[in-house]
Amino acid sequence: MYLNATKGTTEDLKHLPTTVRPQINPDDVLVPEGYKVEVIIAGLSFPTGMAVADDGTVFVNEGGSTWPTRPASIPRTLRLNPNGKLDVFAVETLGGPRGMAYHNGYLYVSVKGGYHTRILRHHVRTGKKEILFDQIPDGGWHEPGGPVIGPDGYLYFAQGSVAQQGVVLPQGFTVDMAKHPLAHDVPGEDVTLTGNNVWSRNPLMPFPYLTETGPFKPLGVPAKKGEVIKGQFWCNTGLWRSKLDGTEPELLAWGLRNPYGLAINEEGKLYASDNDMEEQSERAVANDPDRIWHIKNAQKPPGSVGRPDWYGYPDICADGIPVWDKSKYPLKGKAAEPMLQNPPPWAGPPVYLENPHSCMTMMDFCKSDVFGHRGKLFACEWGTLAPLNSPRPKALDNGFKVMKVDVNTGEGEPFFMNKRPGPASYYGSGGIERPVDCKFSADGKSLYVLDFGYVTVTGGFMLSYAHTGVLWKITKE
Amino acid sequence: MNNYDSWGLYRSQVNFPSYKTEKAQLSKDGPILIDLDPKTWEQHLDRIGQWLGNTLMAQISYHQLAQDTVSKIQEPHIRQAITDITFHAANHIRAVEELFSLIDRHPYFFSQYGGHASAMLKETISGLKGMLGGAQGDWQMLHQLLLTNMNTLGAFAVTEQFGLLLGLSEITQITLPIIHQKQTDQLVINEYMLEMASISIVYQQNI
Repeated sequence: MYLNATKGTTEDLKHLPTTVRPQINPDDVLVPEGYKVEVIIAGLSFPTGMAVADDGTVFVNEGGSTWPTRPASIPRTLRLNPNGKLDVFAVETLGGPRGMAYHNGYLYVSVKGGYHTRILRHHVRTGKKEILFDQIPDGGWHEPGGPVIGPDGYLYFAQGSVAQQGVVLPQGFTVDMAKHPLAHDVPGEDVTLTGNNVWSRNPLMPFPYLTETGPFKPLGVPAKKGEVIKGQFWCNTGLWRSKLDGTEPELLAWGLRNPYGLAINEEGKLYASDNDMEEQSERAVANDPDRIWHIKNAQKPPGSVGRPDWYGYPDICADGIPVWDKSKYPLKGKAAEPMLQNPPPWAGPPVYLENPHSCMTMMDFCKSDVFGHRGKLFACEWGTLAPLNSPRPKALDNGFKVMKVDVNTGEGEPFFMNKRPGPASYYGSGGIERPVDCKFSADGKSLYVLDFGYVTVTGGFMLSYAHTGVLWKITKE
Repeated sequence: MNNYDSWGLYRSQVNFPSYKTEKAQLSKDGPILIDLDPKTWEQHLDRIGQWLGNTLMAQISYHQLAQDTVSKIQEPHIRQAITDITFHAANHIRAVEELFSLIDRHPYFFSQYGGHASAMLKETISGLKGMLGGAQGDWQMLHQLLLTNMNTLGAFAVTEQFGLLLGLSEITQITLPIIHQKQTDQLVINEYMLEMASISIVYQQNI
């Protein structure tokens, strides 16, 4: 398996051949006093998630086709052994690995690709791979969430929405929809539609003719007023748990737009990060906060959740305000209309609200007194896609840091950030670009932070560059 | 703060580095670099250089066909449109040369490309004529141009991927506007081809 890894020096990090990220320098980032920052790996291609084994081994997923879907690189899982040796642990063939968790000799991985997300596990010693689930509907914009393993010995995993804004729209064809033109959202319980549809141009026609699309439908298929869409156990925007061998799956929640990060604290409470609606397109929504949800149904005994909780997608913002409210009217794009008639009860509010477009991703609870801040949630913020997804200047710097969040009080503060707001490339420093995941080391002394790498964003498109990802390590001195 | 070009693309503040720098001394505790050592990087650039050779040949072939097409078209609007496209095609040949220079590589077989391109063009046209099953009229030139433009569009799109894959925005900044121009040209060629084809086939009139 192809891997060309060499040992370098900190001096090498100041003269990298990747011109979009020509330097990486721990001196350019900020952490609280008493912590030091190191660069462990540079040159990662679209890293999407990681896991730490009990012996200190760090596994890092390189996502292959990610955000956007071009360019494609090799989708694989790298393994950094405690002795510092890096090798390729696994290569995916049917999609890109995203989140990952280690438990009792197994590595559990979510994989995005094709019309369905898969949850699989590798036996680390033998390398044997087992598919636990391969029927989670996907093929669109958002990501699988997790997996994580709770102290109850159950596996928790999720799946984000196919449509970006509640309805499949042309912008979806700049990402996965181009490969999956028939993909659409699937609700987690029966819903009745208002009959509101969205007119857009159809990129699949010889000319970009107009077409009308409804929620939970492929592009170009309108909904009817009063139409009932049957809920499915394997939906998207859903969150499930199962036994570790994949048996006894149970749907806990749905209506989660992009629950990429899952984390469970020492009390066994499950939290999910989630991203706001975008202020662009034919169904645009302004001022929807990023958020962290408490998934309350995870507290119930396995097998006892009769009805999954609903967290608001596609109609309710994280602050509980409907997407069609005047306060959500967009500066860029067309205002949203309600899609669900008599929606289910809302399971909000979130335990933490963040600035729109901060793009909260993966996270981990500190369970160590050695590192400090025990019980706090360390949450990555990948960073805004403004001016693409919002025309507001104040959104340009949101994210690009790791937050320390108190899920009991709803307060948060930056823990790992650049000396100036925004990604390092905004002003040519060697600091952070886009933190995507963070995990504590096995000995509890350090926090690893996975940095996705450099992304260009304009008002019309975004481009991501491989070989610019970094694995950082923050250690209590 | 940000330095965006007219395409809205971020332009790096640093100069394109020399890849011939001496390798730094290894450190036991230093960072792990994936693909970023000079030897590996040079190999990647060599492979990109080979692809650029293919791209250049395809683009020269396409330019030649565009020139030939202009001389066959009588209708003034279509003739002007194809003249513009020929101009674009010439610019895109120069862009490939710029891409070679950017990665510090040279079109080694450049002097042979003209010959290769002619042979490639004849082969392409022969195949396309067979596909059209004896249909008549100069609109067929536009049909050939449509397909050869698509071929070069693919070649530049692949080149763009190299820039994204190796963290070299300089490649993207050159290729993305070219791809955009070729998409636009493709639409123009397609429209005129359809306009000419229906009249030529149904009414047996050449335009």
